[in-house]
Amino acid sequence: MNDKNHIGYIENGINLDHIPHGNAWYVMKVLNLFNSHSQAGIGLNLPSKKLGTKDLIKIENRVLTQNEIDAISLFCTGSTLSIIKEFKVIDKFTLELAKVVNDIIVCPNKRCVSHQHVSRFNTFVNRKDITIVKCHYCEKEFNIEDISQYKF
Amino acid sequence: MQGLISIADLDKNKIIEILKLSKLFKNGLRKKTLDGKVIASCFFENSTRTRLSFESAVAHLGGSTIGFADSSATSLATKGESLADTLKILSCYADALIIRHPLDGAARLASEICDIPVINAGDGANQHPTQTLLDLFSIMDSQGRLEGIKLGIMGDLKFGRTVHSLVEAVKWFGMQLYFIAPKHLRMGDEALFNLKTSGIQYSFHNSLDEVAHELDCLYLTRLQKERFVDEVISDTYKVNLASLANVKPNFKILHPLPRQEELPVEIDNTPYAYYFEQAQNGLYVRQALLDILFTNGSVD
Ligand SMILES: [Zn+2]
Repeated sequence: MNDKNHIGYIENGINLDHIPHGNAWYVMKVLNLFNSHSQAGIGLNLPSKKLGTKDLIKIENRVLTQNEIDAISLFCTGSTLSIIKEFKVIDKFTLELAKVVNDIIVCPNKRCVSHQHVSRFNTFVNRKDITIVKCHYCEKEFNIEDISQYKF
Repeated sequence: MQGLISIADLDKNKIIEILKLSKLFKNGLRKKTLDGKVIASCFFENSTRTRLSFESAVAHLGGSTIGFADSSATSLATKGESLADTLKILSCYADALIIRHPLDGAARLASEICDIPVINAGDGANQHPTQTLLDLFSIMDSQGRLEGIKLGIMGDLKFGRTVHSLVEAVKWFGMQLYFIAPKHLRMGDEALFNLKTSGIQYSFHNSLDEVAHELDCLYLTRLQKERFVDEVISDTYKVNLASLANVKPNFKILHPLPRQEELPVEIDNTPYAYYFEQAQNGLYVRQALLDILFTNGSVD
């Protein structure tokens, strides 16, 4: 059984496969799929040889900016991003955790100057294997699961 | 040209270079490094002590300052101009910018927007690197060394900004730390983990009496009453004459000032009171910083 059968073909758009199980929800939040006009197919708890269980997201008529790709990489390290044009995969690559995420994350620190400018977060994986983002401006560190707001 | 935004931007050698030069200024060194230079001293929130210390340092080096002491008194706050635009304009008038701002990260933002070096004089709850430098200098100058110092830190260790920056910097100097705080105001796990990885020894204590006789220096922080559960607990974290009965002869008390009840005036007349000299040291440290900045073209 392949994924296409699950949630349909994409004509133009993106296919984000091998999302770690449970993380599709965060990607939907980062890309604000709830309030966008693009049609999207979400696959949850799909069987995967590589991961055991995986999530999958396909979005019609959506192009991702580099900043957006960097932001979803927080939740999608190792996932494959395919760019699709007229039903054909024209580009495909594996996501690695971006070192810096510009503009997309809204700093949870209300007193942070980034709210008056453009946000910038440095990323790293801590000793407990949790992905942490550190605000370049206020220097505060956050567990990515605690980021509740993204810019859109 | 680089200024100074965060204490983490400095390595050990740079810190030592600044502290050594501070000592020369304290001993009477006179330089006119800032002759003909204009330094913008922009205090978006009031901090008279820090501002005057910086402006005095500029004047001692032969420079002049322009700026404001509180942005609410200027048109900046009322005309709705973005902070970025304001900073851009300010940087046209001066050779360097000293900035104090209530928002965390404002100094970092300023350093990215301005073409001139920026010195952080306090950005919200985040950083105040010259305070940390003058704290280190005060330990060094009162004890003759930094390595191996037994440093007690008492009060609010969880939220206190000066304490966090100081602890971040002592990692270079192999000090032994004694944290004296109620359980709910202890230093956070991450900060402790960083100390451990840097090989710094530390221990926890419930009162000054337990450890006073071992300490070389005691760093006191302002006691914010609302953070303490009750009066009795907050009383435990005040210094009193009795608690100083068995301290070592070289023992000194440091405090970033302004003080509250944690440091009663009766301590001022003891040989252990160092905090006024500590405040004065700020002048020498800021002179040293500005001198290095304009002599080398960069602090870091
Ligand atoms: Zn921030």
